[in-house]
Amino acid sequence: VKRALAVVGLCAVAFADDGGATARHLAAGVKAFQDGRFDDALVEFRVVQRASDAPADLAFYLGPTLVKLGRDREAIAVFVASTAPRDALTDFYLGEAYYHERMYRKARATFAALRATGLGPVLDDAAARYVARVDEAFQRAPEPATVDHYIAQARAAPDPILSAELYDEARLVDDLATVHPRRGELRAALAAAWIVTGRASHAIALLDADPARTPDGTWQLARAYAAVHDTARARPLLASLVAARGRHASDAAALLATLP
Amino acid sequence: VIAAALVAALADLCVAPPAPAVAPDRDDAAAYIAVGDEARDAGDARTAAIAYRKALALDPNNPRALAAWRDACTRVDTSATDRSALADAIARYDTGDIDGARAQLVPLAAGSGVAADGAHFYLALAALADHDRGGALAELALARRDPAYEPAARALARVARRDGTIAALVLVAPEYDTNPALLPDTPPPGATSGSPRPDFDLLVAGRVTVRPRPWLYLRDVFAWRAQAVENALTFLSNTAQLGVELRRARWRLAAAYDFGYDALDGDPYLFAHRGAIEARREAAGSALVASASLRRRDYRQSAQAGFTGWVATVDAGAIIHATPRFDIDARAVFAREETADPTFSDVAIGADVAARARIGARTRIVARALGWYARYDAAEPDGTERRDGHGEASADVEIDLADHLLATCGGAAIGNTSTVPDFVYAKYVARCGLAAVWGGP
Repeated sequence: VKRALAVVGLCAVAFADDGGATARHLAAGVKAFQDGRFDDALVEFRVVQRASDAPADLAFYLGPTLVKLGRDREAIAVFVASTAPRDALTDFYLGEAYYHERMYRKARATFAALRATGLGPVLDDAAARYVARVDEAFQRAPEPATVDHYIAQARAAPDPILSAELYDEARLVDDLATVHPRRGELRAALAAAWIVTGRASHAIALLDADPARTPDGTWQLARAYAAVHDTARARPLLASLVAARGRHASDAAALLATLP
Repeated sequence: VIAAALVAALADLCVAPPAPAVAPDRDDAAAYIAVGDEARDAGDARTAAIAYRKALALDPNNPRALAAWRDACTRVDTSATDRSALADAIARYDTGDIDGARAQLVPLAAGSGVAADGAHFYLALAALADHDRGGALAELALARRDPAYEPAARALARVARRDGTIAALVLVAPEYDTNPALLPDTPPPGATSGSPRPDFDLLVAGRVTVRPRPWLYLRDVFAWRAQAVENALTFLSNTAQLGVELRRARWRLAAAYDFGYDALDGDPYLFAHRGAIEARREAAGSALVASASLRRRDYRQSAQAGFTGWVATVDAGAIIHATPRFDIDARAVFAREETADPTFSDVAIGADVAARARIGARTRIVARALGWYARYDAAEPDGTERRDGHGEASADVEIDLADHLLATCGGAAIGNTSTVPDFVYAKYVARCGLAAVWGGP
């Protein structure tokens, strides 16, 4: 981790040599991070974030800073929203943020994926420990109350990205449960959260092949197809909802009317 | 320590405006103010205060930055405070101050912050300390919503279901005893005991505890040992106890009176009265403990009449919580036995060491070693002065099979050496059995 952050520092210093205000704040933020002044680093990175010439990979700086400050929910939102190519170090911080926020299945998936793609020995040992700890906690099938807990948290989350992540955690926990009283409701809510946060393709992957899809799920799937402009698949789903005259009939008709 | 660091950092941030920067820069100051405004609107007072402070360094006369900085400094980051408060409460609990910890945990559990689930778990532990079965189970139900606490909460719920205003245990265990003639709670009779005759027996033991108040209890303990062959040694014992357990900060004080009645082969064998007190001072990772007791034994059969008299004991030592799963209890022991027959009156000094280990969520092991050296008041009829060395070792394993059922296996070895050959003996016992446990309401 130290070596990786040193590289971050060198990059930032090189960037600062360009002389712009954004580069200067980025360098100041990296320096503060290296000095352990994470509050200062955060302010500098926030200044960078607001600049028109903010680097696309700002999450690489901002996310770890938020993790260091214990602001894991914000870090998750930053990491997930980032459009920069994935990076092992940022994914490691993301895994830690998930773990700190008790999204243990998400953390496990992140660390397991990192291990599968290859990590250095130190990070690999740490990732293995996280995976083992989660496995220890889930030796027995989770109870419905645990799924309910994550759904309640997702509903209460003020940030839509975080809400989606919590619904996804609920889904992963639910997959391990022996009974699934809220499966349909959960999947529809997760799909809605993904659509709202610009990840309609995730929603399609979740619901398209779901044999137990509920009318709510069908409505969200139709919305997802509409969001990615796949009107050929959206139309029959919306038409079936209109024909069924269920609670999504009027919304489906309205959306159908807007399709080209 | 964490809380102190946070307070110090807040003081650095908020006590006085910053020194002006060497090169003022209003544009940069505006960028910081914008970040400060955004953080303030998001409820992040600390980041806002830092941003406004940086703006003030670059633009010292900016009245808006100054006012905003002062306003931000009046607000506190509660999530960091919550984590710190939970850590503080846990540290307090670990040092034995359960009531102090509880006072800190209640507001954390009532909120919906990051520390709420942890607070519920430790409130369950505090409830268990008061034998509050319902309270503990309610707190555990809230704590186990978080998977991090789920395994520990599940194991603790099993303990809670075995406790309460009324708690009962019944054990049934076949035993093998190499020397059943050495009866419980009876000094070795010496020459009259004859050579050992090993025998199997069935041990049925039970315990019922009633707690009208968390600090007051009534307990009855019975044991019935039915010999397979040596029927004359079939033994019944029953002890009724009244006790109080008081707690103040890190101090624990317990006092108890008990009356015991034993019967041998259906005939009265022993009446015994005992008063005992124990004081304990908890600390982080350890406890200092001392106890004293005085017992009156009245043997009802002529063969044991010489043992009738008083037994006073004092012990002191420490309990070390070596790891969260391993405790050692080591004490120095002093005892004075004063009997009707002065050849059985003695002064003894020794040590008593017990180790308790928890393996996984369902298995517990208790091992104990006890030894003393005894010097007797009166010489034997042949003039020999009796000096004994006594040792006992035992180990028991308990495995939870279900919430109200456990399996147990154990063994014990007792050995005595003496300057008088009649008092040189050994005894080995092995047993395995099942116990049913229940608590409520």
